[in-house]
Amino acid sequence: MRIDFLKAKMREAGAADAVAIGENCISYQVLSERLDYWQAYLQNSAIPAGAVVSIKGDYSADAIALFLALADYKAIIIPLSNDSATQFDEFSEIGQVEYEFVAVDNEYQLNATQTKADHVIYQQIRQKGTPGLVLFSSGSTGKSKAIVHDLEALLAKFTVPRNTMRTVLFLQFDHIGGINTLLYTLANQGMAIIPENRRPITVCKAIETHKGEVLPTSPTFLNLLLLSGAAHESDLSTLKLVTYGTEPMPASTLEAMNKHFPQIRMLQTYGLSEVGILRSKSRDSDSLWVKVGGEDYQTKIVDGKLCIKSKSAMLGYLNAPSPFDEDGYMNTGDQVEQDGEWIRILGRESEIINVGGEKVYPAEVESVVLQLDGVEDVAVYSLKHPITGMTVAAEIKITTGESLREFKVRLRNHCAKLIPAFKVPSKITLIDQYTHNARFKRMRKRTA
Amino acid sequence: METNHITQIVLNALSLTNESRPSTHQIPLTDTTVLFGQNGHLDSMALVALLMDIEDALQEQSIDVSLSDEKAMSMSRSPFKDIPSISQYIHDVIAAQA
Repeated sequence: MRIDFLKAKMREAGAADAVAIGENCISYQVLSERLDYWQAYLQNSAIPAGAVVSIKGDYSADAIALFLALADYKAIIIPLSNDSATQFDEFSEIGQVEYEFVAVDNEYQLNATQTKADHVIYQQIRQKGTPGLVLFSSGSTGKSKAIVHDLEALLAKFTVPRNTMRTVLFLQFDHIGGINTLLYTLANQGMAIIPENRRPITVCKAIETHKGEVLPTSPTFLNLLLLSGAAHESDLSTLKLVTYGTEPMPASTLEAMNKHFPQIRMLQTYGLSEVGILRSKSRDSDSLWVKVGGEDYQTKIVDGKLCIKSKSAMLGYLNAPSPFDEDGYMNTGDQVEQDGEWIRILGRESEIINVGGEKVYPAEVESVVLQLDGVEDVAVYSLKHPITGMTVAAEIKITTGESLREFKVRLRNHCAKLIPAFKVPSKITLIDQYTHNARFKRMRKRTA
Repeated sequence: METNHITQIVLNALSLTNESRPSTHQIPLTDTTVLFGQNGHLDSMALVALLMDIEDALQEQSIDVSLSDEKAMSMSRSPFKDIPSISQYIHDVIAAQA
């Protein structure tokens, strides 16, 4: 069992800090003790091996220990963080949850749901005798899909030793990025820094307090970080590496990061819940060109779209047909530009705005809009229009207090210098809220 | 809504268009100026933006209308030809909705 490898690593690390939640640090020894507790608990419980078990709650020492104990117990785990609290019922039903652990005042309560999980993919996992993991796609480009992984296969890549790092755990453990960071950190005896919330100032203070070295996050968060000024109120001198993924990086945000933090290396990552996180290499810190792959991955480009084959790919969706072709490649739906072995991610095929036959990628327009003074956030999306088929629409959060009319003039004059007319947003809405979801990914789906 | 009032909204929207155009491409605000169509000042993108600006201005007066539905596109005489025809078209759309 690969979880044994992880347990051995954790015991070996002893008094070293494993997890920091707020000000509170938990050592590997304490985490190992909690793991022992939960293993004993499961042995004495009515839960059979292979059961589908959800963990409802955010990161804590117990949540992490319980997750590992369930993996060791060969359960099929559905982590449900409060990021998706409004969808708990939907996800529990799709996932056929049989038992649930619910965090109440830092204690976990166990409930049996009387559901019987008989999905054919679950049966496959039980036959293999490995633990399972179910993650839900964020639904930013459609309905949430339930993605089933063989957790044993996911763990495999962490048996190769890598650098010991103090890493901010930005995403929760119901996201492939969160799982990846957590397992990497524990397998390499690093420290996972969990900020109390994901406001820029809180994240920066957590980095300062715990001397964080790595921040895996999204371009949207980096943009907020720059605008909020939080980075300048905190000591981020320990930060060596910022990795960003989940959505295309606006060139303007990358440029601003490099200007303000020349000592931080910027690395683009590429991952999908379905295939895992690929190892990646940015051509330069200021480049949007990236090489993705690694030992366990093969890639090909078909009709301009990136296709990935992965050793640790999911087994399948619970609620959608298999997306793999006969050779085992999955079409990511991400449109890419290619230059030899380097690729540049333009955006999701489903988000392309076709204006009278001309293609517009929301990220490119967002990047131009973000350069304007007083623009805090923007989401560009398509609007159906009888004249041009589709037209570019933008929801924009500004801090200048301008009227819509005043802002339109400034925006259009700015855009006219940088992008062709068909890319300039024709519909502009000023908004009060941010455009991203709980995982700091811009939501571009609108009901037209 | 009075036609005069509507025409004023169209003129305001056109001056917004002008504010975002270089001085060499200003649209003369006269009744005979051809806006859209042969020798028109607006291409389809600019027309879409103009119609949306007019919709925004109407919305500020609590009038919620869509000025670019399929019907407008298939009318034998384009309602988007000049300022009087656009104003008349808006008037008709609002009246039909009332």
